[in-house]
Amino acid sequence: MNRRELGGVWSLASILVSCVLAGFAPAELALAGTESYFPNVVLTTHENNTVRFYDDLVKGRVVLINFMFTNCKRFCPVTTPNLVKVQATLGERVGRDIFLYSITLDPATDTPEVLKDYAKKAGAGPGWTFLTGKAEDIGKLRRRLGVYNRDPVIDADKTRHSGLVIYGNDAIGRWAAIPGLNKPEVIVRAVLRVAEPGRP
Amino acid sequence: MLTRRELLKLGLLSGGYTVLASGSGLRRVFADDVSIPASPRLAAFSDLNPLPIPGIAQEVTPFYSPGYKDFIGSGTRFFEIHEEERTVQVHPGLGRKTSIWGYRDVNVSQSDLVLGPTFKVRMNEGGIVVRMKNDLPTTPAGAPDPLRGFGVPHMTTHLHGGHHPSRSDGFPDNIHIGGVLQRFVTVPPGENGSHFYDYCYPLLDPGSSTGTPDDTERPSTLWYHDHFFDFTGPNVYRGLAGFFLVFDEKDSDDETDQSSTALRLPSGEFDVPLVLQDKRVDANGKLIYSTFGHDGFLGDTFFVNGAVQPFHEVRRRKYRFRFLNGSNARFYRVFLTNSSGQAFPMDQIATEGGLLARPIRGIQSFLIAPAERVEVVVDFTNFSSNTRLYFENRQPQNEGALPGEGVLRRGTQLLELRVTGKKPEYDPSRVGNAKGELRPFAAISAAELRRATRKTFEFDDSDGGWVINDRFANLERALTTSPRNAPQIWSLESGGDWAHPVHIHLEFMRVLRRNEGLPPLNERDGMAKKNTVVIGGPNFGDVEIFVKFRDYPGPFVFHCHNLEHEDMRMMARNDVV
Repeated sequence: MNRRELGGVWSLASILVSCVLAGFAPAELALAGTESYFPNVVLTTHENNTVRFYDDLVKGRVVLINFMFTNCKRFCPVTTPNLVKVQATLGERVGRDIFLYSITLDPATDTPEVLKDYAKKAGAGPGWTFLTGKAEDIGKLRRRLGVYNRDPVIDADKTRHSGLVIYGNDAIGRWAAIPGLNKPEVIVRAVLRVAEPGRP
Repeated sequence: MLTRRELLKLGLLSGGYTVLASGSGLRRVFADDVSIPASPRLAAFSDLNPLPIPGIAQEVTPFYSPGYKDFIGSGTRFFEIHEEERTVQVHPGLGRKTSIWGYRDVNVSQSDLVLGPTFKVRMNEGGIVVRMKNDLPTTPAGAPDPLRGFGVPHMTTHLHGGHHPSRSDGFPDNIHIGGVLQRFVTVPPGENGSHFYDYCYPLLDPGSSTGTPDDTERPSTLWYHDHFFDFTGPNVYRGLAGFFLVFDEKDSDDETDQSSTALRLPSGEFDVPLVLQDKRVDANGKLIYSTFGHDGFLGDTFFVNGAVQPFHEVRRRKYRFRFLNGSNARFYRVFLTNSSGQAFPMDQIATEGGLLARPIRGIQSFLIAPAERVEVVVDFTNFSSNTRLYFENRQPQNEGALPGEGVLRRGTQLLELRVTGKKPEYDPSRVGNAKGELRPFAAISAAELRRATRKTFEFDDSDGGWVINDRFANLERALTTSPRNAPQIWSLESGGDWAHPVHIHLEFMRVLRRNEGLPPLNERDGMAKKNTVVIGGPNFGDVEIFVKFRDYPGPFVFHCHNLEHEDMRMMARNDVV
C-alpha cells in the first residue's frame, strides 16, 4: 500500500468517525480523496469509445470540462468557439497534458455520431473529447462539478444551462471554474495558473 | 446574454423567484448532492480553548524601497510580513493541528495562530511600508484531493477599507493600462522570501492631495486579506487575514488620555478584535472547502479569531469589541445573551466606515454581512463574577446565496464571555465624549448631491457566474471611470433572490436611500459611513450611495464580498482619473 492509499484509508476512517460524531448519515458518503469525489460513471466518446469519467478522463491530468448540447442556441454557440480558441492557444499541450471535455445535456439526441459531426463542424481538435452517457449519470456529474442552478425551475431547463467551464489539475487536487463566455485568453491564463503552479 | 433582471422584466421567469420572494421557502434540491462532509462535533468553550489574540505587528529596520522614495519620510515605519503555510491547533478536540495559510510578522519566529499580526497605526504620522513576502508552498501537501487542495498561492494583499494608492491596493491581477500589462502586483510563491511586494500606506486623510483633508473620514477597524483574482474565497478561507486598527488623537488607543479631544474608548486588553468565520474541518483537522459551488460557501463550524468557539475572560467594566465578518458567505445576527437566552443591550460605536457620529445606545442585536465591521461597547460592571455570557448568532442561513428569513429564538453561541472579579473595576473609559458624540460629521449637502453624476450598477447572475451590468469581471479594462473629486451617486441594484454585500475600494460610501426609503440609523449618512452595503433579496433591496474618489488616480475595483460571487467574477474595475 503506497502513501496515497494509506492517506485514503485514514481519511475514510476519519470521515466515518466524523459522521458518527455529528449524527450525520448521508446516503452517499463523500469520501476523502480524488477517486471518490468524482463519480466514475461510464460515458461514451464521440469516437464511440466507452470510458470511465475519473479513471480514463481526469486521473492525473489538467482538464477543462463544460456541459453543452448540439441544439443549444444560447451559450454553446459562444462557448464552443471560445474553447476552440482556447485549444488553439494551448497548442500541442492539448491531448498531451491538458484535455478538454464537453459533456452533452441532451443524450437522447446527442449520440456519438451527432457529437462527432458537431466536433468536426466546430473545429475541435485532438485532445478534446465530446461525451454522452446516461442522463442520470450526466446529472450526477453535473451536480458534483457544481454546474447547476439553485432554482430548480431554471435547473431543469437545459436551454438555460450554466455556461461554466470547470478546470482542474487532478495531480494536485486544485480545481476552479470560470464562465465560458469569458474571452479565450482569460480562460487560458486561469487554466495555466492551475496547470503550472507558481506560474507568474 | 439575458440576466435574471431582464428575464424578470420580460416576464419569462416562472415560479422560482416569486415563490422565494414571498418567503414560502423553496426546497433546494441539490443541497445534498454537493457532498461536502460534515465536520466532527467539537465541544464548545473548552477550558483549553481561549480566544486567540494576535500579537501587534512590530517595526523592522527601514529598508530601501525604490517604488516609494517620494513617500517615505522621517515618520514612516517599516514592517515585514511573510505569507506561509503553518499548522495551528484550532480546537483541542481535534487530534491533529490544522494546516492553514497565514501571515507572520518576521519578528516572530513562529506563529501558532491562524490570524496574522494586528497592525496598530496612527493617521498623519508618516504612514507605513509593509514588505510582504510569499513563502507559500507551490503545491498542496499530501494526497491530491479536490476538497482539500483548494487555494492558489499567489499573493496580492488588500488593505480592506484603506485609502491608499492603486499600486498598494492589492489589485486582484497584474495591472493592465490600455490593454497592455503595466505592472506586476501579484506575487507567485518564491524560495526563502525571494518574492515580495512593498505596500505603501500613507495614512493621510482623504482630500489631502488637494489641500482639503477631511479628518472625519478616518477609519477604525480595517483588515488585510488576500485578493487574488478568482481565488480570494479559498485563499481567505485558508486563513490569509489579519486586523489593521487605525488611531488618531480622538480614538487614541488610551482610555486614560487626558487630552480634551480624546474619546477614551476602552483600550489595551479591553479593546478586543473578533473575526467571525465558519468553516468545515475533517477529524484530522484538515480544512474542507468546495470550489464546485458558486452561490457561497457555508461552514458548519464556527470560529472566532481562528479558534472553534473559544472563551474569553472579561472583567467587570466596559469593553470595546470590534466585530469583523471574515466569512465567505455567511451573515450573522449577533446578540449578547446569557445561558438561558436572555439578551442584553450593547452600544454600537462604529461600522467599517469608522466611528459613528454618536453611539447608538442599547441595541439588542446587529446584523453583520461578509466584510462588514460592527464595533460595540459592552459594560460588564453589573454582572456578577462567574456569569457566563455569549455572543450568539441567531441569523438563520441554510444556503450561501442569502441569509434566511427572521431571527432564530436560540442560535449558535460563538464566544463565551466569563465574567471575573468580585467587585466592579475602576474604569476610566467612556462610550462618547461629554457631548455624547464620537466622530460627528456633516451629511452630504443638497448642493453636492445635485452636482453628482448618477450611475447604476446591477448585480446579477448569468450563465452560472455573476455579473455587474451584464459583464463578468474583466480587470484589463475599466467598467467605469471616476474623475477625481467628482461627486457621484451610485444606484446599486440586485436582480433577484440573492444578497450581495457590495464593497467599494478606496473611499467610504454614504448611504442615501435603501429601497427608496430612509436607510436604518446604523448606515444612514450623517450617522455612519460605510465600506460595504448589502443589496438584494427580499430584505435588502436596492441602495443609493454617494461616493467621491479624491486622491489616488489609477485602477481600483468594486465587487460583491460574498467571496464565491466575487471569484465567479462579480467584480468590476473603476479607474480613478
